[in-house]
Amino acid sequence: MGLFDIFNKNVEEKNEVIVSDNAGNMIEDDTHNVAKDTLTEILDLMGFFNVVKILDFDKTFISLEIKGDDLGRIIGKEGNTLFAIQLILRSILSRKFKRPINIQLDANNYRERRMTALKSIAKDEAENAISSKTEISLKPMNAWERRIIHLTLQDNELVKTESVGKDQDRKVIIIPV
Amino acid sequence: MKELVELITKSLVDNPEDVVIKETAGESIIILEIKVGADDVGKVIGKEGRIANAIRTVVKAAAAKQGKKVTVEIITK
Repeated sequence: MGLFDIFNKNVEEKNEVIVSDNAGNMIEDDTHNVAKDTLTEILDLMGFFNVVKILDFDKTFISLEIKGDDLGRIIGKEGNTLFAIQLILRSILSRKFKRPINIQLDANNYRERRMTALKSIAKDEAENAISSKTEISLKPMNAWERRIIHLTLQDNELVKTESVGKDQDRKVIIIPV
Repeated sequence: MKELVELITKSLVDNPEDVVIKETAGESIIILEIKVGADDVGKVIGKEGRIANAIRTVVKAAAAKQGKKVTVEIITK
């Protein structure tokens, strides 16, 4: 083994995380790097030459950020494209590693901006529900978005929230109590 | 566009060797047909069509960058 091989080996080892399995045995896991590489490849083939940064990870969860140009197109209308890439990446990785792996994608602080907007929608529509004494039905949202609405209003004793509808039509309703 | 659909499809199925992607490109519209093994159709379509819709969304975003429209069809038989 030459000096360069040793150097490469060290770099590889640095990027691996050691985790323990259910039995407490230490196993090597490179899932987050595979996720990063797969995402970079998908973006390349889409014609977007972006850099992917690993924000956080553990055995079942990987958070990635897409940096660079074209972020508006990559995010898409109301985050549609970003969430579509996220679903595909989650399916690919879960299949490859034979266990559920949750992927969270972000670009240009979309999640934080969307979260701020959703909190404001939740509060405004809760006021509307209270003043009109009628249920307010919000637009269909994905699980992450619905969760933000529920959490924003969980301490508001004047309303309760429920998710109704199936799959892509699933949405939150705000009910005055 | 074909390579993108091929990478995604082959990564989702049990039998990647059975995946055939056909691309028909016009001036402003691209038609992509995905054919997979019979046992793998469900994996490409997903629960309530969620995976198929996600593939369409991703391919549309890629085509839009080139100023093109795209339709993606999954051949189920």
